[in-house]
Amino acid sequence: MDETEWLIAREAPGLRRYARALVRDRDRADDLVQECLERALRKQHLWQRTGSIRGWLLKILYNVHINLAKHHQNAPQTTSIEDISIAQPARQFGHLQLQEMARALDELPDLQRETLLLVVLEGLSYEEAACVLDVPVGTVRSRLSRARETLQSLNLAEVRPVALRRVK
Amino acid sequence: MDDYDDINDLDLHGYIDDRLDPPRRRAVEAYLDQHPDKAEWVRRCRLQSEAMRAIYGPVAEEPLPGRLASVFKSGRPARFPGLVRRMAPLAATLLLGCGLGWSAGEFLPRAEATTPVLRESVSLAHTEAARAIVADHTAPSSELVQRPINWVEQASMVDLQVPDLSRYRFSLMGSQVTATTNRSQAAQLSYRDDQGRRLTLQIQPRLPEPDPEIVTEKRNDVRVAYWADGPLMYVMASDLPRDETLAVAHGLNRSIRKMPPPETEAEFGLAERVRSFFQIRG
Repeated sequence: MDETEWLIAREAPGLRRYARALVRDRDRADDLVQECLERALRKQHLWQRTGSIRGWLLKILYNVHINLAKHHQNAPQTTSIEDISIAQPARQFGHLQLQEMARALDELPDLQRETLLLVVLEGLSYEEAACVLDVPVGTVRSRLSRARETLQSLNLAEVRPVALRRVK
Repeated sequence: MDDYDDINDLDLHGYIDDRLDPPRRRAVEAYLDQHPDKAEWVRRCRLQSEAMRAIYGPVAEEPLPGRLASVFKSGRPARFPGLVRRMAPLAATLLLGCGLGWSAGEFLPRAEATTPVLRESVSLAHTEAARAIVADHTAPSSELVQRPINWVEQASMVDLQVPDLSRYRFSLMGSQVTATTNRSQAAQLSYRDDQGRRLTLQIQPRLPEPDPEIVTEKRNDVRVAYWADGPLMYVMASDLPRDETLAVAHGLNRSIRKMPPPETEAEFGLAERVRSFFQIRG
């Protein structure tokens, strides 16, 4: 495994995280990641080494997702917390709170949800997210703003930290 | 001190996402001290962000499934991985013209475009292109030639290569990513034959309308050929007569894809033999 392949392999767990959030189905998400990784290995010469390889990989993943989205239009998915192997209960949220948040995310328009997750989940800067989504930075900010306004209007103020409970 | 009077919603989002430089962050914090309603809004947004990370963050902690790990162990990955081959969700529109130029429909990855629209577009553009003037290109470097093809590959997730039309006595003169008449972008390859006739090839990623075989028609006095091949859709217009159009279309279809060539090859003028090759390979 050469250096670039090693760099690509390091990003695989993060790609799975974003893919799972995008398509909300374990197998389809891994299909997406596999497609992305295979393509990245074939096209590794296209990475200019001017930006992060993570952004480049996320852009490939997003493009594959967009190209396949039409096929799955009749198979809407919703997030199931049970489908996500949480090794241990989230420290500051109750199960029901996470379910509520997941449902609220599912109800967001796709473009808003995809943008919000790139920034919040993957920690991309607005400029990096704009590059992945191939939109102006202003569009990223606008989608973020609308997504957050929607989440607030869904009365998710009940999401509150809860006492840490140790579960054996 | 009122140095936070100009704080706006963009600053608040930047603060939530930790994207502000320290002076601006301090200004926002001072502003939030004075505006408890905004402070509560920011607090809830940050909690929601934490919740999102709590929902999906653990996925990255899972062991990598074997099939993903094996991607890095197997040699060269499959050229057309199963997912793309199954879905065939995107098409590239190829517009071919002698003289110059074509246009295509808008590059809107989520928009549906029908072949009648594209055929009308390419034929009209080809008719108008005869009046256009194109500067001669010097022989481009291989890197420059490859750049537009790489751009299409990134958008379409399909492996392509620069088509070799030497069999038809056409040589590559130039390669670029260009704007079409409707201001969308397309990869453009320019060819010229030994009689000075020109071909211009444009490629755009598009959503497909599956079509099992190459079809030709006369539209606006222009010969148009169109066909689909897996996740690609090709639309070609030219001044060539029908048989040559079919032969060049067939050659293009064969040479642009990185696939083994067929054992036999059609000759110019043998329309019936050429037709037999126009079934889409699975």
